[in-house]
Amino acid sequence: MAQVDGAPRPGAALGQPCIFKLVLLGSGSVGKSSLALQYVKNDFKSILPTVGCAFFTKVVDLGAASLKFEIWDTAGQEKYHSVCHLYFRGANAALLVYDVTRKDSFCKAQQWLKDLEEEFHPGEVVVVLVGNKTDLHQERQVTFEEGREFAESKGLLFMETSAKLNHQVTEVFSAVARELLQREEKEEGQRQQGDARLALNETPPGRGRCCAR
Amino acid sequence: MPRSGWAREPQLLSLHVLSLCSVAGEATKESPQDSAITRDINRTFPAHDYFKDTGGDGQDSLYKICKAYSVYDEEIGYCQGQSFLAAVLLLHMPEEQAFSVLVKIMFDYGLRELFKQNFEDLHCKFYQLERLMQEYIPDLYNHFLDISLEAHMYASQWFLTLFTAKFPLYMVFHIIDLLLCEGISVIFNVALGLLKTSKDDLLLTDFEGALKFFRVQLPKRYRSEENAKKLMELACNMKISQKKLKKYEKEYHTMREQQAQQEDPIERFERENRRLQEANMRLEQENDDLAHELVTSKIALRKDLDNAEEKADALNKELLMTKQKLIDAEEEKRRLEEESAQLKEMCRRELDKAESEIKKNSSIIGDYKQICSQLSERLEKQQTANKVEIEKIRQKVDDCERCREFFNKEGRIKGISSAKEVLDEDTDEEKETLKNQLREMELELAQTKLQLVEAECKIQDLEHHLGLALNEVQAAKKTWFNRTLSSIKTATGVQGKETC
Repeated sequence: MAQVDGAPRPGAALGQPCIFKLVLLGSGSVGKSSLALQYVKNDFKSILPTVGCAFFTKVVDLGAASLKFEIWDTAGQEKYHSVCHLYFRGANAALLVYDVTRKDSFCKAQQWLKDLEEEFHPGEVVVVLVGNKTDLHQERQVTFEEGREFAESKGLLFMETSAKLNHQVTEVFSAVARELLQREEKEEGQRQQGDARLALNETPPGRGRCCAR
Repeated sequence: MPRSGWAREPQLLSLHVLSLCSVAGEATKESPQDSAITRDINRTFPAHDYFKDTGGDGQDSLYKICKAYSVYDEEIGYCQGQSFLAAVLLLHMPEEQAFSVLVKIMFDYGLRELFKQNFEDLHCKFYQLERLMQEYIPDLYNHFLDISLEAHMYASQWFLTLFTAKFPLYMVFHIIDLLLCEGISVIFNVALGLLKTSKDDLLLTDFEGALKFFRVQLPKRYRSEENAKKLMELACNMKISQKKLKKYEKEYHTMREQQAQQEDPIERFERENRRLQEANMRLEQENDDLAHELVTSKIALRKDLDNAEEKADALNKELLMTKQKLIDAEEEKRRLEEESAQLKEMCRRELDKAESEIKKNSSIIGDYKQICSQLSERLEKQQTANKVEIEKIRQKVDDCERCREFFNKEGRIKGISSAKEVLDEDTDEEKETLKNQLREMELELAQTKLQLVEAECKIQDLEHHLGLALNEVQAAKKTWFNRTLSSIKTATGVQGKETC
């Protein structure tokens, strides 16, 4: 199977932002594509069901540092589950999206977490639990507390959003970016402590995709 | 727009007509993907007039087709993206036919193969596409290799929806026409056509840019019918031999096998282990579900059994009771029959008796009548004899002068003389005896008459009795018979039901 290697490529030393790979996972029509569209293009409209995948990029400026997100938007239907695995290999971050008006989508997000836990070592990937569609508060089936409690029990970031109203959308991605940079710095510190000779710019810049099946 | 492809389709309708008597019939069954279908229907060609209204005819038919398919093909079920193909078909034909054509495309044209076994066949198609690119558009192939762009990143949607999701409808119709005429391999013609016509643009892009091009610019380009026409011409003219496709397919499978062999055995075992664990978990879940189902169905069966036994007991009891009733009824019937026979016998005897009595009485009456008539005859004779005698005597008295003195004209004695007295004594005596005789006779007559009347009365009485007796016999015959008959009938009837 194709493997998309998304190992962090800190290219700050060359004046290029680090590239991080982020996957959007969750049940069908919870708003994965809408979140991506709202975040990348500031747009909200009726979106076709995603078949296969969709790819977006976005540069995030966090003042002191900036990074580039490669966002892989996946198909939500259970059937395409195995295809999604193609995309979340080598991911640095995952957004587990559920629809606050659908309990089943919340359960599905928990299943996705199990898949990620099998695929990655603990702490290898930043996972955010995202409850979308807060604009439909009257039809809510999953409370904020339920979401938060689950996220805390698993050590995930947690946020509720409305892609339709553009509420908290940018914040979710920014939170992911901050978390990624923090981890990066921490690792960097450890690495420098361990081996002072290892220089930042020794990591080859640019795209390092490995597409061997 | 050529319609040859659609025109060829009527024959396949008959193929599926048996299993698909009605789309609605399939659609009413429970489908697990119901909510997924409902959500996708709203997102399928939302700008098209026919499909834009929620709850409109278009969405309704589309829902029915997708749901019917998910029930019809349980292994694959509803696949996201399928609604586009169904919608395209619906724009050409009524829903039953559209459903049949969809089934035909999925099964006979082999689209459903792409969805099977973790999309293994889809990946094979991607490999075939890349090998074809290498042959037909080598520079683009190399460029994609350079920027690490793989076919699954841009062609998944093309193949899984048969190009129906993103491109303008006239182009989509043309592609489906071609597919129906030529088979599933036209997806390579179209895909290569798309890549070839966009080659110059794509060669300038990097990874991101290429994916963005596929997402945005490519569908836009074919909003011009001119471009679409050129593309289709190109696709049609591209000759891709089935032999070549077969060869690539073989290559892909060999490669996969080698990959599997070369793979670190630990990794392979780990993956296998994971897969088995997953399967195990699924099976355990299934087992749990089945065990639960077993227990619930056992309980239900036990309950049913108990109910059935209770019912059987009740029925047995009822049967016994009915049998007893039947025996009683039969006994009663026998008794009644005996009774009726006795009664008949009695009636017959009574009848005979009455008849003999009647006969006796009528003979007596005959005798009496005869006697009476004789007596009255005799009386008459006597009276006439007496009259004659009296006339004679009167004559004699008249003739005798002496006598005349004693009698008046009426014959009464005027005076008393010895002669006269003697004469008178004679006549008186005679008279007296006659009178007595007369009185006696009258008395006898009266008595006879009385006896006659009595006899008649008795006859009448007997006749009446006879009539009554006859009636009774008749009635007895009827009622006993009927009652017995009906009691037997009911008895046998009840028994009949019970035994049922």
